[in-house]
Amino acid sequence: MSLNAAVTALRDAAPFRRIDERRLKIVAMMGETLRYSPGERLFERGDPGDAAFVVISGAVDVLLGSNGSETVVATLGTGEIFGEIAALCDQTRTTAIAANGALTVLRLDKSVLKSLIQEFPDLAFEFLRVIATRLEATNAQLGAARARLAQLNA
Amino acid sequence: MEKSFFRFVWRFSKRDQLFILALTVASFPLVYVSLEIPKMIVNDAISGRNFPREVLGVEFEQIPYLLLLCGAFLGMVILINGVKWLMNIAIGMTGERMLRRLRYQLFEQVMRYPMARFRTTKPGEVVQALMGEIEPLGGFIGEVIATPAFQGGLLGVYVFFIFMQDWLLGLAAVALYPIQAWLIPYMQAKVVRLNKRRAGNNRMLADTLAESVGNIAEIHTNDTARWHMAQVSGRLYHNTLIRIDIFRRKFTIKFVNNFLNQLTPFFFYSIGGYLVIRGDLDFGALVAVLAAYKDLAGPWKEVLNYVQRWSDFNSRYAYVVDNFMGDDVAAPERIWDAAGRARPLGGDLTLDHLDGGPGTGGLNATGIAIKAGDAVAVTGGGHGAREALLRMMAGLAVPHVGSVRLGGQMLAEATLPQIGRSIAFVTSEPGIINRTMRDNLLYGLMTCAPASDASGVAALMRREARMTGNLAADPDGDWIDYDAAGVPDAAALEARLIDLTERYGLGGDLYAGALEARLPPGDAARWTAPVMAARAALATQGAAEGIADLLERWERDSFNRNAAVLENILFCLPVDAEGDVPVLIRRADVAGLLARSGGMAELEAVGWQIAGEFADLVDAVTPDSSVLDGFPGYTRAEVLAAAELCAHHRTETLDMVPPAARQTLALLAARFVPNRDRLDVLDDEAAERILACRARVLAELGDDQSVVRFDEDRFSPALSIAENIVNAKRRHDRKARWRQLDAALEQAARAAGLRDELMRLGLAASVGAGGSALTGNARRRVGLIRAVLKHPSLVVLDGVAGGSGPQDAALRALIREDLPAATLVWAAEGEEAAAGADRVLAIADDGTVRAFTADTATRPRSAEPAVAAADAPQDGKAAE
Repeated sequence: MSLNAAVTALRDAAPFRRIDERRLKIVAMMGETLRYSPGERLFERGDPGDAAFVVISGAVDVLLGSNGSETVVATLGTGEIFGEIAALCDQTRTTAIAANGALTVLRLDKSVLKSLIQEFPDLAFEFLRVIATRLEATNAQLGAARARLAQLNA
Repeated sequence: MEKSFFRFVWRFSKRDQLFILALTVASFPLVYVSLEIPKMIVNDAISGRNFPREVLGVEFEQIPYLLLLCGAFLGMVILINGVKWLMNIAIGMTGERMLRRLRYQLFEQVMRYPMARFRTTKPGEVVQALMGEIEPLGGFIGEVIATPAFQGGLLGVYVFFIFMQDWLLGLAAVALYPIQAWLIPYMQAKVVRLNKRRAGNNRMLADTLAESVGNIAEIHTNDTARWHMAQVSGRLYHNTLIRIDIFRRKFTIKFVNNFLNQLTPFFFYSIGGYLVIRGDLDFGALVAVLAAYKDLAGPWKEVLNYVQRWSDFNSRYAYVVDNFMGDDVAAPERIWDAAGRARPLGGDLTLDHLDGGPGTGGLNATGIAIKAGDAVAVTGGGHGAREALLRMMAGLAVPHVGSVRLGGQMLAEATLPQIGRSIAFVTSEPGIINRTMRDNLLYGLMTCAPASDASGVAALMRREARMTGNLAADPDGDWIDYDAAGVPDAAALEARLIDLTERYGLGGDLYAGALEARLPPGDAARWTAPVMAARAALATQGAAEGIADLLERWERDSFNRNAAVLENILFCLPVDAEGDVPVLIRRADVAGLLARSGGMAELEAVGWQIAGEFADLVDAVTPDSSVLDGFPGYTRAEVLAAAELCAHHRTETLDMVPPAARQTLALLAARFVPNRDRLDVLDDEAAERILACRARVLAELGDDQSVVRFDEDRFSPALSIAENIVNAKRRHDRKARWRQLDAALEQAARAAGLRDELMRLGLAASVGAGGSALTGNARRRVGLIRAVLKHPSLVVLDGVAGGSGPQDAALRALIREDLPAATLVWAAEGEEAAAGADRVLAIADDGTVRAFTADTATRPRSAEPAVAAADAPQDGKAAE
C-alpha cells in the first residue's frame, strides 16, 4: 500500500539508506504520494525549489535546454532522489523534470525536509554525504573535461 | 442637551411622572379600605350581633356576611396589586424610555463631534459612559416624583398624627430631622465625589480593555500580554481603593443614621416616661406615639435614601453629559440637513490662505484652484502635510486658517449630507462594518432613511421611537440612495455592483469564496438545475482537458480512497447536515445508521489502528517535534491524544476499551482519508467490509429524500457548491494539478450561467469583524468601489492606488472612466506616480503647496519626490 511502497523506495534512496525502518516510515508519512501521467512535468527550470522527490515507481527524465530543444541528460528510477539541493538551499530548479511513463513519487516539502533534519540529525549527515559524492563526481567530470579541453587545445 | 438631571427628567417625562403620581395617590384610599375591611371582619362579622345585616338593599346572615367581606378583602388585594403592577410597569418603562433617549442623545452628540475631538475621544470610554455609567439612572427616573411624593406624604401624615397626640413628643420625634437633613447630604457629597472618581477610573479601565483587545496582534508579537494584564490589574486596584473609601463613608453614614434614628425613641422613653410618671402625659398617648414613630421610621428612611440617590444620580448625569458637551460640537443641522443631499457640492476646488496649523507639517497653500474634472496628483509632504492636505480637501479636517472650497462652498461649513453626497475619501484601510460584503460596498449609499412599513411590529417600533425622541427609520430597511448610484432600482444596482467588483479586481475573491460556500437546505432546490448544468459542462470540458484523471468518481460498489471513511460508509449526506465529520457523527440519525449497519464497529477498528500508528510515531520523535504537525487531517493535539489513548489501553483488545475512548477512535477513523493520510490501516478486506456496511445503509434508507446520495443528480446542501459541481472526490495523489481543476470549475460554473448567482452569494457573505475575512487588498478595493458607486464630484485617494506601477495606474484610469466628470486627487508615491495627472500639487519640505500643470517641465526639484507612506500599499500588492 501507499506508505509501504514509499518506505521501500526510500530504503534505496541515497540519503535514507542508513536510516532505520521506523524512521523511514515517519519520512514516508511526512511526505505526499503523488502520481503523474507519462510526459507530465513535475517542475520547470527556474521554478522555485519547494520540495524534494523520491521515485517510488516508474522513472523521470531530467531535461536540460530551452523549450523545444530539450535533451534528456539523465533518467532516474525507483529509489532515486532529486530536487533536494534546490529544496535545501532555497535555489531555483536548474533542470526540468518529466515523468517517463506512469510515475509515482514521494514529495517531501521543503518545510518537511527541514523538520525531518531537525528531528533526525543523522539525516543531515547523510544529505551531506550525498552532496559530497555528487560534488566528487562533478569534480571528476570537470577534471576529465579540462583534460579533454587541454588535449583539444594542444 | 439638558445639563440638569431634573430638567431633563421633567421635560421629557412629565406626563409619565404625573401618571405615576396619580396612580400613587389613587392607591392611598385603596390601601385604607384594605386595612379597614379586616377590622370589619373581626369586629363586625365574626364577633358582631344583630344579624341579618343589610348591604345595598340585600340582607345577609352572619356566614354569608363573613364570606361577603372576605370576598371584598380578596377583591381589594387583587385591585391593589393590579394598581401596583400598573405602577411598576409605568415606572420601569419611563426609566427605560428615558434611558434610551439619553443614550441616543449622547450618541448623536458623538456623531456631531468634529474630527479633531476624536483624537482625545477613546472608544472604550464612550461605551462605558453610554452603557454602564448611566444604566442605574433608568431605575431611578421612574420614581423621581412618585417616591418623594408617596413617602413624604406618609411621613407628613405620621408626623401630624404624633403632633396631634402631644406637641412636645411631636417635637421630640422630629428634633433630629434637621441634623440628619444637614449631616447626611454633607457626608453624601464625599461619596458622590468618590463615585465620580470611580466612574472615571472605570472609563479608563474600559478603554484599557478595548485597547488591549484591539491590539491583540501587537500583544502576541511583542509578548506584552503580562504588561497589559498588569495595566488592567492596576486599574482594578484603583477601583478597589476607591471602593474601600466609598464603603467606609457609606457605612459611616448608615451608622450615624441608625444611631440618630434610635436616639429619638431614647427621648420618648426617657422624657415620655418621665411625663407619664409625673402624670403630665396620658399613658395611652405615649404608646400611640411610640407606635406611630415606628411607622415613621420606614418613610423617613426612604426619604433619606431618596436624597442620597438623588444627589448621586444628579452628579452622575452631569458628569456624563458634561463629557459629551462642548463648544466644538456641531449644530444638529450638520447631520440633519435634510435637503443637503439634494444640493451637492461640485465645481472647482480652491485653497485660499490656507494654514494647516500645528501637526500638519507646516502645511500652507494659497491661490490654488483645481478645475472640476481634473486629475490631480499630490507629491511630497511626507511629514504629515500631505495627509493633512488630503483630509482638508475631503472636508474631514478643518484648516487652522484659510479655506478649502468646493464649488464656492467652504467645506468647513458644509453639512455631512452635502459632503457625503459629493466627496469620496479612500484610505489604505477603509472602515469595514461587520456585515455582508454587499452592505460594505453600498455603505456610501446608505443615506436615505426608509419609511418603515405599516405592519404592527413596525408601528410599535415607530411609536417607541417617537416617545423617546429617536430616529423612526427602520434600521434594516432599504437605506440605499438609488439616485446617487444612478440606477432605478435594486436589481440594476446589483448588476452594477457585480460589474464593479469584477472590474476592480474583487470578483475573483467573491467568486472563489462563493464556490466554497454552502447553501441553506431551503435554497437547494433552486440550485439543482444550474449546478447540474455546471456539472455537465465540467464533464464535457474536463474530458478534453484530462480533468477526469484528477478525480475519483463515486461508485456504489467501490471504495473511494480519496474520501473520508465516514463518507464511504454512508455514501450520502443528510440534507440538513451542518458542520463536518465530528458534528455529523454525533447526529442521532447518523449514529443510528452507523450502529445498525455495523459501520460504527468498523470505524472503531480502523481508529484503533490509526491510534496505534500515531503511538508509534509519537514514540519515535521528540514531543515537541514539528513532525507531529505534518498531518493535514489531524492536529498535533489529536495525534498526541490518540497516541496516549493507545498507550493507556495497550494491553487490552478493542472490545475492552471504554465507550468514551471508542468514540474518540471512531472519530479518528471517520475523518481518515486513505490517499491523503496514507497510513496503512485499511486493507482490501476492511474496504470490502465497509462496502457491505454501505449496502446495508443504502438498503435501510431506501428512497429516503432527507439524504442526498453521492450518485444522485440532486444538489447536496451538506457540500460546498464547488463539491456539488465536481460531484467526485479530488485525488490527493494528483494534487499537483488541482489548480487546473479549479480553473475548469470556475469556467464550468460560468458556462452554466451561475456567475451572477455566485457573485450574489459572494456579496451576501459576511466580511467578519473589521473585515477580518478579507485580505488587505480586498479591503482597499471595497473602499474604491464604495467611492465610485456613489458618483461623487471629488474623489480623494490617500494611500491607495497611488503607486507608479501599472496596476495602480490602471485603477486610477478605471476611476476616471467610471467618474469622468469627477475631480480625482491621489497621493502619488513618487514622480512617476503623477503621470497622467492634469495638475500636480507639490508639497515642499516646509509644507508649502505649489500647483503645476502636469506638462510644464519647469517643476522645481525642490519638490522632493514623495516619500511612500509606510501604510501605503506596495506595488503589486495593491493590485493583481
